[in-house]
Amino acid sequence: MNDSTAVKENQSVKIDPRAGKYLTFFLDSEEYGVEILKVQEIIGRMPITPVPLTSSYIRGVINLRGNIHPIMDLKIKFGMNQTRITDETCIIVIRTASMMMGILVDKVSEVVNLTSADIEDTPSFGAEVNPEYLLGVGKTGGKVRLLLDIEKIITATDIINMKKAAGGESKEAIAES
Amino acid sequence: MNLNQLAILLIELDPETPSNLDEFKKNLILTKKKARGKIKNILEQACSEMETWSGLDPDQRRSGMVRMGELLEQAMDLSIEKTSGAKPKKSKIIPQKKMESLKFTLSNEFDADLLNEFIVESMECSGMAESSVLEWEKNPDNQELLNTIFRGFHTIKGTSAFLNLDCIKDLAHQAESILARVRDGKENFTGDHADLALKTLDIIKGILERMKLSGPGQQIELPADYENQLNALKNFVSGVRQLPVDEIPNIPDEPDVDIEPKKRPTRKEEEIAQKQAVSPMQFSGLAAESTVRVKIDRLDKLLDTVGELVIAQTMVGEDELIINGKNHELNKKVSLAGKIVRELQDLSMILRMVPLKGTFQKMARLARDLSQKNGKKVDFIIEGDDVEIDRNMVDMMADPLVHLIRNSVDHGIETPEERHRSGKSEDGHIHLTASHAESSIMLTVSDDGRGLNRRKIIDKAVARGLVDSTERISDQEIWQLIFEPGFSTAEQVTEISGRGVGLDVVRQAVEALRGRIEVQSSEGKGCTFIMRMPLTMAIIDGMVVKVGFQRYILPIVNIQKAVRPLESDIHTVNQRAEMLLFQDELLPIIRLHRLFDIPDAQTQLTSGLLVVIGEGQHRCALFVDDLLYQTQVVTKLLGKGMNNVPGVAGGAIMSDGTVGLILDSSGIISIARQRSNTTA
Repeated sequence: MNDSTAVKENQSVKIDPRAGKYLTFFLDSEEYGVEILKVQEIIGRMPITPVPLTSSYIRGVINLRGNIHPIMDLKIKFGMNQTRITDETCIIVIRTASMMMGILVDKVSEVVNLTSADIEDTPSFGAEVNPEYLLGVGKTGGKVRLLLDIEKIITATDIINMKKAAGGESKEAIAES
Repeated sequence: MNLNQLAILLIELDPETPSNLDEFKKNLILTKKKARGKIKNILEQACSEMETWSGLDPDQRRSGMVRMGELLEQAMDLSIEKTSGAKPKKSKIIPQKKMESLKFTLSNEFDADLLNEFIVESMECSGMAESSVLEWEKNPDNQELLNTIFRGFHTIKGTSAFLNLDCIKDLAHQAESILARVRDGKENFTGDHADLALKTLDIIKGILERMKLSGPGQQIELPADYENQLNALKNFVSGVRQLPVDEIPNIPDEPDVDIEPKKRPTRKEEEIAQKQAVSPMQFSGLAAESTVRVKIDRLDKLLDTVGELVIAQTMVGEDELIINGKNHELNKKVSLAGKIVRELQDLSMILRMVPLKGTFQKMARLARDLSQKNGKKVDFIIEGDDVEIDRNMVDMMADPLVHLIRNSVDHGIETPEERHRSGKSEDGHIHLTASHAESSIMLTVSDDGRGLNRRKIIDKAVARGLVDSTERISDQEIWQLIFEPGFSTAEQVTEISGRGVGLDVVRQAVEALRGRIEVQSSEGKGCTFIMRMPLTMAIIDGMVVKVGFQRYILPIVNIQKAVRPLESDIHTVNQRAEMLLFQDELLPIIRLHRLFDIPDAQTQLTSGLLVVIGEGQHRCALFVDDLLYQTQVVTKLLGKGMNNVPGVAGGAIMSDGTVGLILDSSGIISIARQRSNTTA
């Protein structure tokens, strides 16, 4: 009995649920990571159809093999400037239990394997991103990456902008986020 | 092999094929070996009966089969009696339903697939039986109908016994006994028979519904009126009638006829036996179109893929290399492929179509129950129930139909006395008709009741401020008023117009199906509601409109007219609200670019187009840059979380592979109104 609890404790020390493979990408010059298991695929830029009366960080919708999925501009969500579409711009398609959504990123970087030793808890200062949206900070090879809790970000997204729908100005909507 | 299965085998038995007979015999002997006590004795009798068949000609065999049927029935009755006392070995796996708690547990022995199949099959059987009961009420002498009902109950009884679902089996068995007495000519048909049969089917369906929501090993609560119904059926069989029956036939008082062995089959019974003997053939004749059950998500996936294929094909066809190419052979091949792809698309669309039969049957039942409750006589006539419609629309369509039929029975059709006074036949008539009209479906609900009261509607409308003057208002415009939201609240309206309960709900539902509703009425003669809807929600005809750099699809049904306005047509009210003078009416102008905040759009009204959308009081002129072209698109959802975007009904993949947004005109009108209210 005692043995097994000891083993369990040992395991829980060893295995951090956050450890695993991350897909990393850039927003401006900052590098972020999302769990690779949440990533369905990476697609190059493609025409995005804007949808009216939605939040400013919803860039619109795309056609992915006959299904329509919303695209979020993470930079607007995090209070940066709107993403400028370039040749390097990519859409990372995220699949959560309940929905699929694409996120727009400036550049996809690499896939890294992070052990629990590489992951630190989120510092409560400094980052522009709301700490609630972060799993932690990954440090390997002299690089620092903010690991996003992408599921939380997606599910906490208010797609429809009630203010806009009711006639409020769109500028307010941007300032608000 | 249990008794029920044996009985089913017997019904399907063809006396002219000896090989069938041998198999039946084998099963009979096997069953006999497993049976005990009295049942064994009866089966023993059956076996010896069977021994005599081999030398007989088919006709004699038929009467032999009738005797065999009787013996099996006896055995089954005995086994049921046993079940309520000491259970036969099979049901020990299931904790028997206890009458106090009225719950039962689905056995773990069967997997979910099997149970599902049973549920679907039994639902079909009860549906079939229900419609036959309704028919039977009209033609009580039709033996074939009675046999169909009988078969329905019998199949349910057999399969539920196989799955140890005693609660369903008991109900079906009792209902069968009641019907058997009518079939055997021991009783004449009365309304009570039909009532009991329908109620039983309801409860069986109720149990099935509950089963659908749970799985093997789970406990299910029986419907509240289960026990009552079972007792009612039992009492009915044993001759205790709760309701006065005028024509109780003079049969000797045998408490349970089925147990008493009969001496000789009558002539009539032989006929029935013959009918039953050929029934499998008739059955296969009815179901000549054999079918396959397919999961709906697979079907949807197929449709999606075909949609993609169409787009991919269009892209190939519109490629520069093809359009400007000089390779005629290649062009030919591409266009041939295109033809096939389009054919494939049409074919795949048909896959989703289902006949309206099921919905119509429910309506027939509703009309029957309602008219009984209201003490009215209603003859409900169905036409065109084989018309097919997209299965996604079937459920959405049921609600408005229920409303309209309720309306007709409650308010439209008069009481028999009233009808008699006004020189009409005492039976009111309600027709429910479906037909194809161009590429849409037309549903009409028509009654010969009292019709709409023009004057009272106008009074009401004036009082509500819906119309100012009543002079130049056409009948059609008046009838449209009853669909106004404010018009229909509760009883006041029922008092005033006699009609109009919740008709705005009907209109909303029809509009949600991209359809329109009209009403025709003539006072004292009746009232007809006509609904036109597209055959499918999956494809819509739309006009592509341009606003700035954006393209939107506006469904053609929503467009009344598009005008390029002259300066003189446009009026400004209070320096702010712009109005369009259209057919002597001022319609508010909605600038789509402003509503959706689209940059670089045309702002000069006279350089763009105004599209008149909406109905009646809600008509508006939608300002867009231009109309581009007409197109047919496959509608899609915008992905989770985006389906409630105001003003947008959905998306579609355009021929260039991008997503186009389909506008929702009533949504646009309501946002525009909301805004003008907040800014005013």
